Amino acid sequence: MSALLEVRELALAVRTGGGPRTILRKVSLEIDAGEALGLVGESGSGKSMTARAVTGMLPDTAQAEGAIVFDGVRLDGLRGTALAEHRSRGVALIPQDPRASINPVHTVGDFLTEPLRFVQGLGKDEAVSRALASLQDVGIADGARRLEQYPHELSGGLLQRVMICAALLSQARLIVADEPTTALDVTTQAEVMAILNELRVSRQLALLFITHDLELAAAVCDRIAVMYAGEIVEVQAASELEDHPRHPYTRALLGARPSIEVVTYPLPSIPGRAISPHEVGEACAFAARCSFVADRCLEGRPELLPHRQGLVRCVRVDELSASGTQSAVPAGEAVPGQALGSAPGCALGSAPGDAPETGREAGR
Amino acid sequence: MSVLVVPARGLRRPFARLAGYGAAMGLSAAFLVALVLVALLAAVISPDDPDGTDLSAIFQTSSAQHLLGTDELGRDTLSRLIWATRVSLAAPLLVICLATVLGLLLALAMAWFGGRFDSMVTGALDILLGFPGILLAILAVAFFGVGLTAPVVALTIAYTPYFARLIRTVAKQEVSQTYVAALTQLGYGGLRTSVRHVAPNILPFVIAQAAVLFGYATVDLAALSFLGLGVQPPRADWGSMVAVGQSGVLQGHPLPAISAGVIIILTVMALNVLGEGVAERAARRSR
Repeated sequence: MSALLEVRELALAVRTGGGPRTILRKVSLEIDAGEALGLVGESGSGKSMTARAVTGMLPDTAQAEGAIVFDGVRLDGLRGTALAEHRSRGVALIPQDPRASINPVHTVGDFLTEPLRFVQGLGKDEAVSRALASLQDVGIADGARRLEQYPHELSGGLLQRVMICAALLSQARLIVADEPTTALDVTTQAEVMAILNELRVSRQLALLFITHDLELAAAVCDRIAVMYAGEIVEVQAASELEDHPRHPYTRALLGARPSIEVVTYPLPSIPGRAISPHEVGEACAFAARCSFVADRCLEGRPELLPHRQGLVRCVRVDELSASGTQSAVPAGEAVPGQALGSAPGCALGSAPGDAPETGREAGR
Repeated sequence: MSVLVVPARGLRRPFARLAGYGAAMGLSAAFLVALVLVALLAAVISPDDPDGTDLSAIFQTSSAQHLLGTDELGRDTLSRLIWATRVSLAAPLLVICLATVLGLLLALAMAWFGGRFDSMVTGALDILLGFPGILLAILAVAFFGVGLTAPVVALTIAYTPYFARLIRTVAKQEVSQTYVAALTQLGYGGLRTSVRHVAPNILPFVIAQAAVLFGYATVDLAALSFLGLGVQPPRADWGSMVAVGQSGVLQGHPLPAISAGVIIILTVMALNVLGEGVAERAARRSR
């Protein structure tokens, strides 16, 4: 089955005053029809830029190389109406902050029906009845009243449901959700995610889900890609990634999750700082913060290579997997006295072993 | 002003909204509404024939029959003022409507396209701004003859840059908002996004600028008429009434000239208060 979305070796640089600055380096990923792919990573790792590339919304100053193929069509060559067509019907975006992403002077009804009427060419009554039905689907019962309301009259959670509604109405086959719950209250987050996930599954839509929240990604997605400094460091099936993270960065990330059952102080964290893509030299980007770093890691940039069922960008992955440094055992504990054992960062070892288990429950 | 989409709710409760604007704005608005009514109902409320001369009753002072007296031909000043309201309001209104639409469209295009188009149009507008509107209008009259057409066209051209420059700044800010990117994501083009979505959001600034410039246009047109380049006798507007009244001032009968002058001043002041009030509220809201 050929993929619905294929990103092939996408490299991205943004022109700045001091010359081009690398944002992404050779990012490749695939999403099949109906599949959900999670894209996780720290701020600045290139998640959102990847999403913008996929939705055809790269800034004017961006220089892209590589190819993005959606449904058999290359996006990089698209201009004008063809690009608008891709934006309106190919992909739908669920934004991070729904309130900023809706025009405050038009009603919710205008927002939902305008694309139906002017992009899909429906009549007014038809558009309104579709919008009403769709609002029902996202759990908004009094749709007729909501259509008359302005965005400021709706709560954040409701507004995000309206956004989901708009994404569904566009009949796009791929939904790109860029941290869709970040701006929401914690209690509404779960609700919104549940609605999004349920509708996605029942309508067989593909999803590119961008988040900081590994457990949420694992709960919603089939596969997860982990990004670091503008490149993908690991791609695995969601459950596999949670139970058996292969890349040291993924392990560290999983180890850094706070647990609801055990109070740890200070909170576990990864030592050092996340470097920017343009700072990466001719070595593994994560080497400076990695507790498994070896001389080989500094001798060139590792490739993203197949490992078991997934892809991992680490030259030591075979050794690390073989020496049993993982499975359910938390990463840090298994390698006592490793390079950064005495640094504050050893805190990633201090995360108790139950963290992955909590994750597994969320994953089911 | 067909391009401007006024949010329907704002129009439904004008008096309730006006109450929150303070006394100065309320008075100004009331004065302007009264002027518009006077212009519309001139035929009904005018006590006398504005052009009816009565040489036996020239330069009369205020009396029950002629509330504002009569002018040098014995015409009733109040009636003439009432009828002059029509053209004195209509001409600047026309100028402001045309200049608003032109300026808004230019500004939206500049904000949307940005880059070279933006800087080229900005440069052209700066050159236009260098010419005083009144000079442009006098030149136009020299070419096309006296009457209202040439001044209206010339002032429209002169006033468009004031709108375009100001609105461009606001529109540029608006275009950089997230929701505009979200609209692009929906596949909307520049025209739809600009006219249907950006324009209503910057409307308060447009209205504020229109109100203030309406005052300037009123003064400019009155000045042109004062110079005898605008409305031609026997028709009158406020500017030409001041001009005609000059002879009366010298002979000790200043009432016709002063009453027309006072109306001009009050109108411009009301427009300024209203415009600045709206601008202040718009700025406060967008902060």
